[in-house]
Amino acid sequence: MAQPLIQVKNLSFEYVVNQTKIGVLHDISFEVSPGEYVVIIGHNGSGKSTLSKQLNGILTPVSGDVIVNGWNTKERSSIREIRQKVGMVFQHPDNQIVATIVEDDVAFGLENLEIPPSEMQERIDFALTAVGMNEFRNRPPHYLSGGQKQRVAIAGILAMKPDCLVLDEATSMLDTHGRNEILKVVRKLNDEGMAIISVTHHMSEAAQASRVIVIEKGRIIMDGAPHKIFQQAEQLKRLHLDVPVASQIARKIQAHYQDFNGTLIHNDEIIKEVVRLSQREVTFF
Amino acid sequence: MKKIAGFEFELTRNITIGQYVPTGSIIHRMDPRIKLASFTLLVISMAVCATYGGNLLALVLSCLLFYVSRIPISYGLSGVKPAIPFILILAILQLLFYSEVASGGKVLLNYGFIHITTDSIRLVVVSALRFVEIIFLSSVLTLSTSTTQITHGIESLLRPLRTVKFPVHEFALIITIALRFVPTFALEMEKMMKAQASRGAEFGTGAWWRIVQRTKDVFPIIIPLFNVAMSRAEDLVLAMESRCYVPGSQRSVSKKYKAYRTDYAALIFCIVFAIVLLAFPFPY
Amino acid sequence: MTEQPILEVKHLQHIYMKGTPLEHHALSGVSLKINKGECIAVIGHTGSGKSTLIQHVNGLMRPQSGEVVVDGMNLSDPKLDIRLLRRKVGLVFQNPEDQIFEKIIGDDIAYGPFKMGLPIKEVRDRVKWAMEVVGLSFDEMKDRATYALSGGQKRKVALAGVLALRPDILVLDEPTAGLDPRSRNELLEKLKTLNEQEKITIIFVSHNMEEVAYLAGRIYVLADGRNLVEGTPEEVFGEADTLKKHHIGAPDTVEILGQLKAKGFAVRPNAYQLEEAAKEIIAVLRQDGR
Repeated sequence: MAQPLIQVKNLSFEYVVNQTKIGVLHDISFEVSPGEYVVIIGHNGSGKSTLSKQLNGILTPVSGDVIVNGWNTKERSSIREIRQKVGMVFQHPDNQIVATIVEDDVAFGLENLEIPPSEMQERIDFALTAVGMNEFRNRPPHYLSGGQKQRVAIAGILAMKPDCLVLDEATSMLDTHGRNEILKVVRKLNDEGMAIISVTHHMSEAAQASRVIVIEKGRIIMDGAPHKIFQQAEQLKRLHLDVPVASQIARKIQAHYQDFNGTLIHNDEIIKEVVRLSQREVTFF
Repeated sequence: MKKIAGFEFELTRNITIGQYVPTGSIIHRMDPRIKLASFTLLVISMAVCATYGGNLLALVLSCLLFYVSRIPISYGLSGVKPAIPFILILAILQLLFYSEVASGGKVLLNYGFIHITTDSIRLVVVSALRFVEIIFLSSVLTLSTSTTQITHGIESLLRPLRTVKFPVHEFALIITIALRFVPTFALEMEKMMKAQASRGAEFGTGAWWRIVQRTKDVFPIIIPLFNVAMSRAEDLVLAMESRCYVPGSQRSVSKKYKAYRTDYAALIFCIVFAIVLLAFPFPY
Repeated sequence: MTEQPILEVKHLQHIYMKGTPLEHHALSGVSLKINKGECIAVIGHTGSGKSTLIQHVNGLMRPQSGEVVVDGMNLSDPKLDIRLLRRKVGLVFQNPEDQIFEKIIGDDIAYGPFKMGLPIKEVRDRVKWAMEVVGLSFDEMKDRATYALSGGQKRKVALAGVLALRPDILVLDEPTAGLDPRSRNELLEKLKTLNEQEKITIIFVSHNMEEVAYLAGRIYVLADGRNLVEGTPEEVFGEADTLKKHHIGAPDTVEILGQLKAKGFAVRPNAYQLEEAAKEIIAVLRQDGR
């Protein structure tokens, strides 16, 4: 068993507002292995964003520990190493770009890591190519679309060569096209071995993960493979969370046509299932 | 009838700061440090030069710079256009009230307190020319230099100040971020004005002496804009920290600029030009 | 039908920074015809001109060429009473919660009616109506602080602030962008009620096709500042290929049916509603089974 990349152990967190404590996260434990693709879903106010900010030491636990690659986030001496390992992309495309030219923005993290200029150029090339933004490298960011800005933000993280990419609702301000652009990039990075932790409320994103964690009122209430999670449609509905359209269709069909697999969650899987069933009948004749 | 035209809200589209026009000309390729120094030199010499001849020469040079940088001169003209009323008002004021200062030369008109001489005419014309020259020059500079290069240039030129503990790098970063957010906030403000106008807000209408009312009218814009700015700043801090930024700590520099022979040639040209403007005894 | 449309746009054009090197054609001849009580979706890829179009409807922009007529008021008329127009057409921008500027919810919603110079009693009635209609209890919420609200509630406050103008037409730019599923579904329901029970004509811009399918009676698709397709959801989603070509998605149901159709299954590819789509697939499976 490979050593986990991130270990969250009995994490609790609270904000103090006017001397009253407001509990946000309660006794949360989970591990993320290298190369995993984890989606964290939950409502606004469920604590999912607070949780994501614990993963690279922006916030630190009130009790419990978060351990990244062996470093505890409470030890501020290794904070630079932790943040280099676990990169983070935020919700608003406009609020995380520092420089006035795409290329310089990608360089920002590298300057902080004191990477020598000779190596910098190579890393910038690599990162911009990975997100497909190489041709925009000399553009000012305000001429880019939301999806393009988010890809630049991802490139800024990639250049730092992290092991894990945390997306904190990184697609929620984008249109369908922009969101698909980002998801494509993320899936590719995951295929190449990068661990992904994506905080979202888009169920179609949850469907492409290898694992889904559902958070409600600061507690983990479900944790498992997406196929399993979406079977619990009633509970998700009670939590006012959506189920992917493909999953809803699959269950509706199964109700009238029992051979149909009701646990499917992808559009492609539905197509394959229809093809499979119709071919089976053909050979039956 | 109140003036409510459509375009009164289009703020961003009139902001030319940071509008980089990449044509790849020789001026674009100049080392930003030398470019900045050269342009500063030219601007200073033009601001001081008070002769017709010198200013005509300077005007020719600034037009020539557009040609060399391959940027359409219409950009420069669109920079001058909004300044025309200002130039005109300045001209009238100078004509009426500067006669004491510029009292030399032949008297052309003497009527009551109006006292126009060849010198005061020259003052007016030269000031107007200076305006145009400097707008042209700074247009060429900003249109041919990315904001990053400008900040890098400033940083390099200010580097000697580090010996007196001036935080040169932080200063440059602040400028970069400020420039980065100019278009963002302009857009934001435009949206806010439109949104509040949709709810019945009116700006800049009503009598000018009702200052309290007119000030109150901008609250619905200023307060949300301030809130948005604060939340953007918070986000930005988080994003910067996530990318390992620690204020005051050592950072490496991504770009190394190298000055070539052409850069030095340009600098020398500018020095000579400045000396000519300041020292050459132009006949007019 | 002789019914007068409540909004008619004819060959509308708009060029930003006309006559400069940065000239940009946002609208190159868009036409709309919307009747009273309709619920219309305007969809299109980023840069298709949607935002520019809707800003013409309440006179934030005036037509450069072409015509915009709102309930008999022609926007090209220089003597147009713009205040009357803006009361008739309520425009809700994207992320409208950003505009909230008063400390107290009730005060913020009352801003519009106050600006109209209505008597205090009428203002109060309108605020009450607007709050109830978006699902905020007047008695409970009117004195609450705006900053302590959740994102979804803030958006409701902002929407109420526009509704308090009692517009006949409500125009919304991406009404649910950035909301979580619960707030999104709530808001969509409220909009449906506004359209069906309060008889407010709704025009909304959206990129979420599930939302378009849920709400819209008719859809206008824009591309590069021109009309691309228009019609009922069935008609528009039937043109899946055209939509795809212009980077416009379709609901997942339509995507699935489209792929099945391409594989030679006899399904109606535009049965966009969940039930319908499931029925189509079941029918195919049964047929093959027989």
